[in-house]
Amino acid sequence: MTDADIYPPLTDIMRDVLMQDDLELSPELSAKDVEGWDSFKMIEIIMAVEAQFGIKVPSQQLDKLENVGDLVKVISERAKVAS
Amino acid sequence: MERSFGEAHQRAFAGLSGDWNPMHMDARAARRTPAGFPVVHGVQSMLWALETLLAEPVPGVIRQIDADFARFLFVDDEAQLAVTKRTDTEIRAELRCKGARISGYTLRFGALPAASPFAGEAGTIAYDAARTDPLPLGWEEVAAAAGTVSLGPDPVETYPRLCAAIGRARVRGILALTRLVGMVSPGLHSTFHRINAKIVEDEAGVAEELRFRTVQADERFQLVTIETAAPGLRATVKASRRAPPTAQPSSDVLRRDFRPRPASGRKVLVIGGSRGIGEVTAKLLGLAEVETFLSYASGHEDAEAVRDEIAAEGGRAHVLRFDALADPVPQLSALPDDLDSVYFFATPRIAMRGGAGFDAALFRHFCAIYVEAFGRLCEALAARGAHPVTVFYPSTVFVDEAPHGLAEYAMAKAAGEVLAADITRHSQTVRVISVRLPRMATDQTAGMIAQEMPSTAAVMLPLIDRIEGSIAPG
Repeated sequence: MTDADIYPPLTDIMRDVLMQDDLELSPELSAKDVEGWDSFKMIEIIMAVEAQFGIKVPSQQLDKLENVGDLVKVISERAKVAS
Repeated sequence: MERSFGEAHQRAFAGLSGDWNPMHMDARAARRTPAGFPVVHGVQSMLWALETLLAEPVPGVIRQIDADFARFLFVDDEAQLAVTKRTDTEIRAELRCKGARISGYTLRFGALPAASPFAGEAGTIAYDAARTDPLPLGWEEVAAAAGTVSLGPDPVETYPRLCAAIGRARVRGILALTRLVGMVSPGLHSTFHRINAKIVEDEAGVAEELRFRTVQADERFQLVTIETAAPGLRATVKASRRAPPTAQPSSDVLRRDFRPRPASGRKVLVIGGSRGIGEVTAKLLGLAEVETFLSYASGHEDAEAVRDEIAAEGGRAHVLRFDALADPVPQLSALPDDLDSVYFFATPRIAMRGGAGFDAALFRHFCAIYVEAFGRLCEALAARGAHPVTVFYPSTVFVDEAPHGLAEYAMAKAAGEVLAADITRHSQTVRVISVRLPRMATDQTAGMIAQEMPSTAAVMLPLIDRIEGSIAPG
C-alpha cells in the first residue's frame, strides 16, 4: 500500500472526526496545528483507520505517533503485516 | 451568546434527564475524577446551544443533530456559543470557554427518513424511571450492554423551541442519552464523547423508552459505540469507561510492603492529606509513629477516613481544615508550636489551558498556590517561634520535561523551587526540601490509555525517611 492509497481515505476520516471539511493533510501536520485534535479525537482517528484499512495498531505505537507522516507510516507497515 | 451553568441548573437538568452521575452533582466525588471539579452535563450545554440556535430562523426541517464533547465545561464557568458555518443544509456551532473549544454541534436540514427497525434482541438491562444510582458496570458488562432506559418528564418548559422543532418525544429521547451514558452504560465511571442523532419519521405505537445496545467495544481505550432508538430518533453515541478513582494503598498494605523508619515524638502537618500523594504520605507518617495533623480543603470525610485508618494501625492523627489561599497565621494557631515538618500538597482546582499558546491567567492560577500560598505558609511558620521546621515542597519532573500543554504548571512549580531555595537561604528556622517528583498514579493522572507509573509510596518513603529520620536533610 502506497502513500497515495492511504492519504485520500485518511483525509476523509480526519475531516469527519475533526469536523473540518477543508482539512488538508501533510506529513508534518500534527495535533498542535489543528484545534480540537485532542487525545480522544486521536483515539477516534485510530479506530476509524483500523476499520478502514483492516489493521490493528499496537498500543505501544500510539504514544509514538507525532504527526500525520507517522500515522501513514504505521498504516503502511501494519497493512503489510496484515496482507 | 454566553452563559454559565450553576448548581441549581445541574439539579434541574438531572431531574429532567435522570442523569444524576456524581461527576456532575457532587463536588467530593468529582474531585476523585480526572476532571477534579463538577462538570456540566454535555447534553445540557448541547440542548441550551440548540435552543439558542433555534431563536433564529433555520433553513428547514432538522434531520440530524451531531455533537462532540471535546472538553469538560466546569460548573459556574462562562461558556460562549458561536455559529461557525451556516448554509442551506446545515448550521455548525461551537461552545468555547476561556478560549478553548468545549463542544461542536452540527444541525443538518432536509427530509426525514422513515424509521428503521432497531436490530438486535432485547437486552438484559431495564433501568427504570425511579432510579438515581448509577450502575457501576465492569468493562465486560459495558462491552455487552443492551436494554432499555425509561424516558423522563416533558421538557417543553425548558426547551420550547427545540420541542416545537423536533417534537417533545424526540427531546425526551435525547435527554435519555445522557441518562444512558451517565447512569447505565458505561454508567458511574463514564465520559460522554459524541452523539450522532438522526431524526426519523414519527413512529406510532412504539414504547416510550430508549432502547440501546453496544455495537462496538475497544478494550484498549475502554471506548464503546452504542446504538439507540427512541420514538422518532436513532442515535449513535460514543462514550468511554473511565478508570475508577485511584485507590491509594491502605495502611496495612503499606505496613507490609514499606517500612518507614520510626520517628516517634515528631509532629508533622500534611497539607492536602485527604487523598493522593498527601494521603499516602500521611499514612506512611502514621506508620513511622509520627503525630500527624492532616489537612483538607474540601474532602472532610476523605480526611477523616485517612485519620481513622492511621489510628487503626496504632498511629496518632488529627484532622483539620486548611485553606491554602487564606491567611495561614490563624489556621496554624491550632497546631502545636513545636511542629517539626510540613508537607505542602495543596493543589489548585484543575484548570485547562485557554488556547494553544501561553495562558497567563492559568499561570497565575497555579502560582496562587504553588508560589504565593507556599511563600505565605513558610513566612507564617518562621514567625511562630524558634523551633526549626522542615518543609517539603513537591516539585515535578515536568520542570525538566516541559510536556505539551503543561508549561504553566511546570513554570509555577519552577518558581516555587526558586522561592524554596530563597527561603532556606534566609530563614533561621524554616528549611525547604524541594524534590522533582515523577508522575504517579492519582485521580488526576488517570487517563484513557493505561500507563506504567511508580507507586506513590515507593517515591515518598525515602523522602519521608530523609525528612523525619536521622539522615540530615540537604
